[in-house]
Amino acid sequence: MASTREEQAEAQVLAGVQDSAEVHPIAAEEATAQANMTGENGDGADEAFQPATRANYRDLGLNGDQLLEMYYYMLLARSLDERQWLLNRQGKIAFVISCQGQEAAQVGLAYALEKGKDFVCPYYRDLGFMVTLGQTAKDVMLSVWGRAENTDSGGKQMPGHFGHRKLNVPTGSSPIGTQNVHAAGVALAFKLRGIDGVVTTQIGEGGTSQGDWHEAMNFASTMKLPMIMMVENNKYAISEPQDRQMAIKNVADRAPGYGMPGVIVDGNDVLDVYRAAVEAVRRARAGEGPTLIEAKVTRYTPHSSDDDDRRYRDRAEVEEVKNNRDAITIFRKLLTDEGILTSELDEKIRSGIRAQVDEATEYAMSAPDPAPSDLYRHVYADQSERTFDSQLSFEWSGSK
Amino acid sequence: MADLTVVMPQLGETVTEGVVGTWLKKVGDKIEKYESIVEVITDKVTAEVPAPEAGVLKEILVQEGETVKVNTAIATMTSDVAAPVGAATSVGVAGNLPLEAAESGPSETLTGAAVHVDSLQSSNGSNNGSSNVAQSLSDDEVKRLYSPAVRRIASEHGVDLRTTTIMGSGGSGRVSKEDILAYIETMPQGQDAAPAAAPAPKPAAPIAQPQPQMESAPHHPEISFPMGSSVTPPMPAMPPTPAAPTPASAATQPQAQAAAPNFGGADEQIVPLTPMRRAIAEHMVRSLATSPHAWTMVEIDMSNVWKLRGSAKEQFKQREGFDLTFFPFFCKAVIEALRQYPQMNSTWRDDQVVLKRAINVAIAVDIADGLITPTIKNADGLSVAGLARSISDLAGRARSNKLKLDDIQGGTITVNNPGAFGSVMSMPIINQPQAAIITMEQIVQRPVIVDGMIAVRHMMYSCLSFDHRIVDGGAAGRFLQSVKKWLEAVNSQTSIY
Amino acid sequence: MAIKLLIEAVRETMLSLMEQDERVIVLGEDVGKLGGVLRTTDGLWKRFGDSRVIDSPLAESSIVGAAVGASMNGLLPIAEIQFSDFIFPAFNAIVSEAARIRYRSNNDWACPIVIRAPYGGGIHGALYHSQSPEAFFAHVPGLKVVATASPKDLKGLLRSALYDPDPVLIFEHKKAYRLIKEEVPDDDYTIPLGKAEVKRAGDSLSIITYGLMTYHALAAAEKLAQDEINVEVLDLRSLRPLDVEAILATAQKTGRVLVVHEDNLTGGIGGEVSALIAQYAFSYLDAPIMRLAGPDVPAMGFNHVFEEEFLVSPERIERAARKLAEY
Repeated sequence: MASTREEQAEAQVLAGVQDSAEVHPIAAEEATAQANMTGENGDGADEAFQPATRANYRDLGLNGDQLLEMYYYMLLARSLDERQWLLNRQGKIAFVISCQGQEAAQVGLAYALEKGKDFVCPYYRDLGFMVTLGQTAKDVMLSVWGRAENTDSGGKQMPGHFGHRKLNVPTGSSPIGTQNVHAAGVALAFKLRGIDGVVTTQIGEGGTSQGDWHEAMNFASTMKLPMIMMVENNKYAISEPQDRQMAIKNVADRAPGYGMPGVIVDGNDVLDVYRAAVEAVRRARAGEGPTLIEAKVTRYTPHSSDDDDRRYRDRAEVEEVKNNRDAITIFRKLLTDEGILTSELDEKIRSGIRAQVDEATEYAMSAPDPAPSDLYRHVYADQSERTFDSQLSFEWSGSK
Repeated sequence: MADLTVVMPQLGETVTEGVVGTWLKKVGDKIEKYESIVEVITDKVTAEVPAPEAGVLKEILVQEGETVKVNTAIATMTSDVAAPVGAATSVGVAGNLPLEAAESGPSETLTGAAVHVDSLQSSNGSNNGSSNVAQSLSDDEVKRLYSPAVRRIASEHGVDLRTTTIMGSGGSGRVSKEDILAYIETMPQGQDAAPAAAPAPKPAAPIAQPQPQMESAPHHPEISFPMGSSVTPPMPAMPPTPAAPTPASAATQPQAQAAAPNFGGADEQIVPLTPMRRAIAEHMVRSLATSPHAWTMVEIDMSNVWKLRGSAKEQFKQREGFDLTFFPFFCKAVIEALRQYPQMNSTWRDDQVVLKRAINVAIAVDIADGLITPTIKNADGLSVAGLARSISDLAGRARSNKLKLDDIQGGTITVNNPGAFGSVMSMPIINQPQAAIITMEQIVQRPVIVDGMIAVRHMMYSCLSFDHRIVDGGAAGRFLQSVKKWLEAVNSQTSIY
Repeated sequence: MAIKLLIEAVRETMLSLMEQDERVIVLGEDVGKLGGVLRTTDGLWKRFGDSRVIDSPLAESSIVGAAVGASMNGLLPIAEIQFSDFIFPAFNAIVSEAARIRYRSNNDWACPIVIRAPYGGGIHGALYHSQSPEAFFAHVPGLKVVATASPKDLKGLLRSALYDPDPVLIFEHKKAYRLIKEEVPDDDYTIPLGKAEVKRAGDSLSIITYGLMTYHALAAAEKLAQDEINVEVLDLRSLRPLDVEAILATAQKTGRVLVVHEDNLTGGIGGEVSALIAQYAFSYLDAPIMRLAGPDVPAMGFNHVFEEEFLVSPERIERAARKLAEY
């Protein structure tokens, strides 16, 4: 559902057209971070965390424009996310659940898919996935207010419950892990129909405790289905650290138990993710079966706007990553170093994004809510349900 | 523990005896204070007798259907309370809800056999001695509850379940859908006929009493019951004219539905009597046996009254909310005549003529099961309009079962209106213990000679039956003339207020 | 027209659906080579092979979940749950997911799956092979639920269910698989979901029921007719949506209603049917609405004594109907 204006903005940005713009407060913050950044990615505290490899983008078959595109998607996701927090802290929206810190993992995998053919069964943090697949800023902001026009659910679901038929994103829900078994079914259909499509499905490391995750892993591997399971391991399931969910160090260590490969990637390195993704997609399309990709990431925010993470972790933990290993900052440096990105172009991109986010916010803020009568629609295909007030009658009125 | 005696109460003036109807309790049953123990029938009133105290029914002395004199002991009960009170005497009218018992006095509500809420709850309580959670109902209670289907069918066919007897063949004598449907097929056509019950009850139905339903409709406006029991607000009988349908005050409508008899091939169909029918029958026989009836009549030119009423009726209707009929004019004429001829306002008692000071005019009202004669007390203080209001009120309450005992007692003369049904002449039977009964027949236009010329006038006969022990033809005739004179002297100046 | 057992109707209908529509797949435990533990899918794998008849891992949640996913990617899956007693691991997948796909996506996605499961007792299956869980699902908006023991009805209902754009659960009475024989038309036909059928017309008393109890009610009705109690038997067939018009019509006709089901009494479908009649057909009732159902114990036990004590039978139905008739 991209608007013409948004497409134009994106095109302008990517074509590097000069425009005047103000300096965005975030830019200043990131400038600081950039200045603080070391030359390479620092290691995480986690001993099992493997050093990230700075994949050579050319080896991956990517050109400058494509890198800029990835950069753009990461930035767009980050900006939309930050805007939601702003609005929430202003009391203007009810609920935010974030992707901040995980954008690279999401964009890196999503970018490896074939739009229009492949499916994605995301989880609630996957805003990065959604914008990469093509959900517009406007549509995202409409979901934040639960407006009638929103594609995901028309106001029926909370934000983060993605669903978009045209983008091949089956509708998701709140119970953890159900999207994984759906993905297994989607993959089964690809196989039985003889289509070389791929379905990716995502979940946090906490979610891998859920029975459905195991059933999906087992189903997909037993039947050798074209599914990619990405676990975005941000070390916390709300407040519970990883060692409350499993006795092992890496989720990827489980993969051999299901008879599929498990790969660990640096979730802050979009190219590292992309590299693994490309291989997993190739495997899947070739009928070699599913792959588990574990992306080590950091969740910058509390679990959601209803959570206070100071109760269970040190802010310093987050600040360290934000300041030293932020994925967008790292990528910007790479692009700058490679001469793909100049500061003017960067500003161009950012102001373009800012404008999109502003416009989307304005639009969604005043977009119409659903009507009360919409409550009764779409329970089934062909009928509306009886209204609340129909209970007050002694005459049967039937369903409409 | 004391033994208490329950006696046959005196229900209504001049009642000397009563018939024991249905025993509502058996020997050994626990009884709450004021709970109904037995139904009794007199010709005036059918009522339930309440227990004077809480206790246990010890002995039944008189069986159902037997007649005993007032104040005869009919049962004994044991009680923890020492008070040796017999059943209420003039009150006796049970079925009082706790609210009314508080105001107890002679003017209890009339429909004595009304469903006794207290008894329902207390009988539940006494049966199980526990909570108010729905307990199983006694058979009587079950019989009084009509199912929604029965109510719907009844209302579709205009059957008033409050005043109609229907035999129940369901469990505990319940009236089922089949029962009401069968009843509808057998509903009598004529108004005289008592509502026919369904054909003979199936053996399965455990109905012990001689009369299937004695209970009358719930009357208390604050209590709403699922369609209460059937039948028979207890009313004193009104002497109907033999030829004409039962007399009624103006603007009265017959309630009982007529239906074709259902012989089913047999030669006869037995129609069980309702208590009211039985009471009316007894009264009629007794009246004729008591008073030597003589009869006379007079012809009255009602043209002036016709004119006056015609000019006043619109305004009257607007002001009062109901129609002005000829009946209040007639009643006024009768009252004025009684002032001049007080011997018409008297009674024969113990070989004496007893003149009554108050003029209490009883009017005949036709109701579902028969008729009743509520009384306008001290009618000589009322204008035509006042009489009209009183008549309207009494007739309305009679039809909706809301008359009090006081309303039907104390009449000194009765006025009938068989003219409403087209009668031009009738021979009414005296309403004991009064001296006379006077009718207002139909007003018809006839050619008469006035001042030697033929004129068309509104003419009406008025008929009088009188007790020849008290009054002779001369006095009766002069009384009638007085009525005639008053009516013919009405002119445009006559005030109805 | 031929006489068929219920199991034959199940099998043959699936066979013909799969022949006619390549989108139809069957998924479940032992449905493939074995042909189903109760032989419900016998012959299908031989005919259509691994690509259409899939032996799944022993995991009900993913049997249903994968069916949901597959239905969102172009297939029409029939998921078989081996015994309805084992449907509960898939409860989340059915209630939180399948039932809500259309609603939560605001009509963007649909979930046209069929879930079939054998239910009911009388085959010495004890606590975990005899249950009737239909009421749990009949409660859920977004699902459609059907229960039958009739070969003729099953053929039409299964076809309607498959092409229904929303998730449908079909509960087939397992005792009826080899017990109930009926004439089944040869041609393909559909029976609309949400439509009950009067299996026997009468005017004194209505028995509203479904599944194997329909046949028990018909047997009882024959006996009662000898005493001039003319029973009307209404077979609900659809438990969600209920055919409210038919329910009210029979209540209005007779004024006396007995609702019968094998499932536990409390919280069973009987309560919903009774409430509908009480609210919308009140003035036609000549007696209280009565229910006759399985007692409120977890299920029937293994010993035949327990099974007999639990199960609603024609004799018990007859007794209840007499009581109601006499009210």
